[in-house]
Amino acid sequence: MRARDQLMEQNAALDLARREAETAIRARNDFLAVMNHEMRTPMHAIIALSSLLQETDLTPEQRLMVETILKSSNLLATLINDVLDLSRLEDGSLELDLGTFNLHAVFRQVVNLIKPIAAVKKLLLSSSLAPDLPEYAVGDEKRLMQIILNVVGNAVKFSKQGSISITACIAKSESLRDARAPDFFPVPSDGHFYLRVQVKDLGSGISPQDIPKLFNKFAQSHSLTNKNSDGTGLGLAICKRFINLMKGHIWIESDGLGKGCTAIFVVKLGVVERSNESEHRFAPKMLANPGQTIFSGLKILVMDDNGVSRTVTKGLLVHLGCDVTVVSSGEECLRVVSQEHRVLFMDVCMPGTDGYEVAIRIRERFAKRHERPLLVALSANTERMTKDICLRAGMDGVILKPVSLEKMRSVLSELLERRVFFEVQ
Amino acid sequence: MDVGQLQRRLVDYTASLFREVSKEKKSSGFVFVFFLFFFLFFDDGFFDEKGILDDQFTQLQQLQDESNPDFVVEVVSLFFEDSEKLLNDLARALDQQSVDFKKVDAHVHQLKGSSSSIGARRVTQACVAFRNHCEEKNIQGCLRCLQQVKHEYSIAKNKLETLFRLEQQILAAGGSIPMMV
Repeated sequence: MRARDQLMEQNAALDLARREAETAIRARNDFLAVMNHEMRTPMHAIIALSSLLQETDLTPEQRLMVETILKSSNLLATLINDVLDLSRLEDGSLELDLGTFNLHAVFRQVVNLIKPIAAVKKLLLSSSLAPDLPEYAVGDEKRLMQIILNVVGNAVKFSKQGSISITACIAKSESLRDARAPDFFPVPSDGHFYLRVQVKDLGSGISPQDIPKLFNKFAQSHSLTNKNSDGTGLGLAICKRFINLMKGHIWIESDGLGKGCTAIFVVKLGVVERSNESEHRFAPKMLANPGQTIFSGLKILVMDDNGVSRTVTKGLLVHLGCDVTVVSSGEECLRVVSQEHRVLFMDVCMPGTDGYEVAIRIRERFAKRHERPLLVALSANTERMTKDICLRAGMDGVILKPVSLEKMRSVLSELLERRVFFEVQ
Repeated sequence: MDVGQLQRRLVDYTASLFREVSKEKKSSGFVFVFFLFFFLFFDDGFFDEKGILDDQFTQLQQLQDESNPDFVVEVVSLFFEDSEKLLNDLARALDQQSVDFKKVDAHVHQLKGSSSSIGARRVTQACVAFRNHCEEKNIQGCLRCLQQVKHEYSIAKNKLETLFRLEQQILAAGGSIPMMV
């Protein structure tokens, strides 16, 4: 009897503890989500205004100060993003965003992004994909790209000369097991394959005893810290956790200081079922298929007093699949705007524009943030910009014209996901 | 001319718009000095691109599809209409006894916006120069700029109309417009 009572008491206590823990996690996530947004908004204002400041007439001393502000605030913004990612990764609440994507394109994009930076340092960047590497795969494209970018970025950062080579192939079972990681058990299965990526550089290298610490949070190699070091130290820690989520493994080899470094990681990706032919079969909404977009029917309002510019912006958005209404004045805008419009693009090029007023009125009218359209200013990159007014009026974003198709596509994605977008030159 | 030849001519012509230096510009000594002045004092990449059209025009072409087959012609026609009106307004505004520079600037600003929206880069750049003179309330400078803008506009208009004519010829001959990348 007593044993049974005890057990029941224990069960009740455990249950209570479990529920309290879940509540705590939920509360923490809510807190983080709110803090995330609350922290990001002023962060973006600082970055946007500092960039603006950079474009004005400054003494050399002032310019130096502004550059430092900009650099620090960019770092802080990255840190905020990283910390949020990391905390979600730690408590297991981060889930991979699985989808079908073009694997070859991911590598191409990484090379395109890193090439200019490598060129400045006169580093040769090359990428080679094994011929049997499938073109399409199932996985979290964004995070995979983040991982590759991080690893390649490190290679670039710590190389003063030489070349950086990226190779990608399907991991064969012998190479899957790494003696240094006895707890990595790759389990090949039907419908999945392991992607193996190797990034080799001829840079500063790492001494063998520092290697295990690399994946710790906030670890920075002291021997390499110099004034150019602008990382948060979280990059590899986050990479490792993403890779773990992808049932993979990452390790670094180096022959020592000054002898370069090789980073290798393996992740599990899904195989795309092919039928007899076209890619249209596995192009779900997430792929940027020309004509087919995730913005289908997205209601957008465009305010612009210039007829030509209005027509072009409308054409851009219609091409992306949006349902666009155009107005030519602030007054018309306030009459037409409704909760159904998800985004309002306001051209604020004209000095003395009523974009400011419109933004204030809309915020007054729609008390709850998620009920009102996102307010985005379109501004030409010229003198007399009213970007600071836009920010003070509480705009959710500012974009610099000209806006290309690709830029608009990524702006819309970012806006819908994060609900803010501030472009910084 | 067969369709293939017409298409090739169109491709070559279009490419030339993106890189050509206007011969007319070089002939005027005064204009040359004018630009030299700007080159020396305004390092905004003025001489970087010599084309009549820039990448923004290519963007417009990308927006044209089956559901919007005449997009480029429509936008460019709108540009022509707007610009002609603005140029007339500008001439009138500068002809006044007491010139309202704010108004002049507002017109130039509109023209700058439209031309940049379709990628008529040289018109846009001429507008930038124009606005500087408005700010300085320099009537002579403004009049010169107005001439320059009119000049660039008429070149752009000419070229674009020729471009559209070539496209029409191809379509009339049963061909399709080659996609520019």
